[in-house]
Amino acid sequence: MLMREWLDSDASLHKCGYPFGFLDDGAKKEVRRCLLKAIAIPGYQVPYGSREMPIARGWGTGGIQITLSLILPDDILKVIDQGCDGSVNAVNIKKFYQSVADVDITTDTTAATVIQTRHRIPEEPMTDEQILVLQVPYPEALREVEPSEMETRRMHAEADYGRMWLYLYEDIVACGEISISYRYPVTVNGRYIMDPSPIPRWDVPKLHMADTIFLFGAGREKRIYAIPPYTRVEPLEFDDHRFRVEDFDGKSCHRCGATDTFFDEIIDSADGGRKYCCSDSGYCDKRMAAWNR
Amino acid sequence: MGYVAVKGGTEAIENACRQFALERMRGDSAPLGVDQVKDQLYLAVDRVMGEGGLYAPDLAALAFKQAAGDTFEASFMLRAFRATQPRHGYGLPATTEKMRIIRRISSAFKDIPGGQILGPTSDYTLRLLDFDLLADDAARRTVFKERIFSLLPERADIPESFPRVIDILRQEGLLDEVHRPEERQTPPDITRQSLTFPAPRTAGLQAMARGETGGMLLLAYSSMRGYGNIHPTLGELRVGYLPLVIPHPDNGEPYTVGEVKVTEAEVLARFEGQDGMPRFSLGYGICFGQNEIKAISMAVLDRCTRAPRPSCPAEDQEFVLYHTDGIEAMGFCNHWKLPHYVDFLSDLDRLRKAQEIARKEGESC
Amino acid sequence: MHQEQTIRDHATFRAILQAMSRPGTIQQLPAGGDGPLQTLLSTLLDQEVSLAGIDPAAADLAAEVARRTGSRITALEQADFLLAIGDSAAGSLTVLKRGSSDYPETGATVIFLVDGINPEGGAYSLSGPGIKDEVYPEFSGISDKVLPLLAEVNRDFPLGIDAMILDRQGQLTCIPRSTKIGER
Repeated sequence: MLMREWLDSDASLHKCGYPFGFLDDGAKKEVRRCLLKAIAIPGYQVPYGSREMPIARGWGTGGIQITLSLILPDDILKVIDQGCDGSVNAVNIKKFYQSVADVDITTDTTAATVIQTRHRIPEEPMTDEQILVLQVPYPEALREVEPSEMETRRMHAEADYGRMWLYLYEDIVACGEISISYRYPVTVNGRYIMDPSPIPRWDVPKLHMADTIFLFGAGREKRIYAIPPYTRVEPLEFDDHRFRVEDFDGKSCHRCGATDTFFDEIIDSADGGRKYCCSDSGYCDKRMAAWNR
Repeated sequence: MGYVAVKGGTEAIENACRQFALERMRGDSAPLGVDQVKDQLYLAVDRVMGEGGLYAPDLAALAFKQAAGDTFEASFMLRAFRATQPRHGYGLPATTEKMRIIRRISSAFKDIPGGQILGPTSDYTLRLLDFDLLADDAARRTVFKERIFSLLPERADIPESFPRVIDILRQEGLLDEVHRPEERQTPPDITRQSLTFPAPRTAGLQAMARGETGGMLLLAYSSMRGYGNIHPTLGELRVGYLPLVIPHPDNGEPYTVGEVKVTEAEVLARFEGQDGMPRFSLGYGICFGQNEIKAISMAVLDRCTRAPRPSCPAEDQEFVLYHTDGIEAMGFCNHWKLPHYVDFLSDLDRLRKAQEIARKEGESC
Repeated sequence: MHQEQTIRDHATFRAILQAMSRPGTIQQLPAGGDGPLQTLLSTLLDQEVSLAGIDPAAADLAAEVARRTGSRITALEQADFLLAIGDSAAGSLTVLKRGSSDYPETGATVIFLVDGINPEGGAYSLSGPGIKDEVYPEFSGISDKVLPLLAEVNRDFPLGIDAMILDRQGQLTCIPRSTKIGER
């Protein structure tokens, strides 16, 4: 915390001399050029400079740089972490945005114009007027099978994805089915295999032929990629071993009663019992409010 | 519930930030002046400037104070500040021959033109705690300074420039000096373009100049110890002040705007040339401030990562460059403290399913 | 930089992002500043990129843009961004950078300055990522050869060039390399 912030409640960074959107003009222009190329080549990871942010690497700096290069003062912003608006990192990032871009904040998915997220896509369908910015820790879907950047780049260039398919096949042989839980690899526009960020499998179908623009930023790994609207996004699967989302059969949210959302599992007191609640806290609160009305 | 509570998280976070600021003010000691940090903890300041990639002693000292002495945090703040600063121009290439030397040694030759200059170093001290420093005060410092200066000669002739030891070997044809064409090109700027592999040497050197001292030492040490075969001879190590020259914005003429303190290391390692002729190859390291471990480690790694067939981690350019940036590494390491419950639940779902399948198979056998 | 200009750049980029994400649709750039072309380019260009004019008239304009944005003027074959005015531009499209299979993003971006854009009535259909079914925008003041040539240079996806089409009123339509251009 800056001393001044505590002593002077009206000391936003914006007023301390940092420009609107914090980043200098050159940094924003670079991010924008990369975003346009990323849109033009769906699912391809565009390398970029990635400036250091006042928030640590691995804490959403890729998403933050994207948001800062496109944010407008009249935007309504929602920031979520693991589905939750009140999580530590989401709160921290929101404070930063408010101080450098004077934007309004919401927890309501339908009210937001830009949503930045870590590891979830909201439950409520997003429209063609909204942009979803995803924070990405590992942009390379092939890293699991190949540690070298030079080699994965070659594999993408030649669409040589045999080793990825072999990995899935061996997984089935070992585990009986594909055991990838989150960060489930997808094929975008029939060309590039892409890491959709660590969203659960539950969220993967939301990327397919969506109305919304999805922008992915990996600050530490210095990559930007994108899925434009109305683009084919297909999880890797075999005819006899289909992609499947998480199984919440018979479970419901202990707060709002929902049975059709992605749940957090909560260990309920010392007896080891479990209960469930919606991971999307904004959606859950909204349902609660409607129910109480 | 403070960690990821659906509500009430904001207040808990703000309290945590305040408590951190408060911790620095614990005890009754006088507030630490940034000038004190800059003057008396100058090696920490040097390290922060090097890893932060910004030559700004006052800001580095401020960052070090604000971070309560954590060099990772301090370098990180300095780099974040750097990222907001516009670029006004580019310096002209500099040669360290013109450096204002404060220390200069070679372990390759006993005597070198210009002489060995030991300068300020702890290398030759006994690492015993100096309890006298517990009673450090202005009066004692004055006495100490007076005694030192009384021992100095009236005047000493210092050469205008110091020829580089390496040049002597170069004249004798002992060095491998095959320059790849890319080394003649304008170097890429790694703060503007992300590293691509194989990275040109100029990009690798830039990355390592901002690298984390400990991480670079670890990798260089692994090669010196046996995971690799670089047994370096320190051709020359220099510490001093390098003039910073820019083209004048009005007429383009060279114009000296100041000087930066740097440490430079050149190491020699023997190898078999492609024509069967054994030669020395050079490894080069340079960084802001006085940080000799980093400069030597960098020079060793520069040499290692040019191995034609990498056989160990320190020779793998991708491995070295991706894993020695302290700011990236610390950020990612810390990020594991963030909640991961969505990912973990997805993991649980897969594990339960896999157990179910395993159980069924067990029954059917 | 004035805050007003900074915020206009942000708004301009939002329009460009929508245009590139939804090929064939028309997006309106913010008014004000020094006209649509300056508005467009001041959000994207700086000393890190190179620029060229495809035809002689565009070369003068490119020099002016380079002076304002700090970008470098280079030969057609090396330019990151290109400006094209009028009819003579089409033939040159084949010599522009299309990127490499390792780094396809190094393919060029061409900005065509046209008289007007209509959402309907074009002779070619556009389909692919960002387009729900098909769209048929019509451009006036541009050679008939441009769209078929664009299809030709973009046949080896992911290699290719990305087109921005800007009219005098500040309406923008994009045709990225991922777009399929077909006869209607």
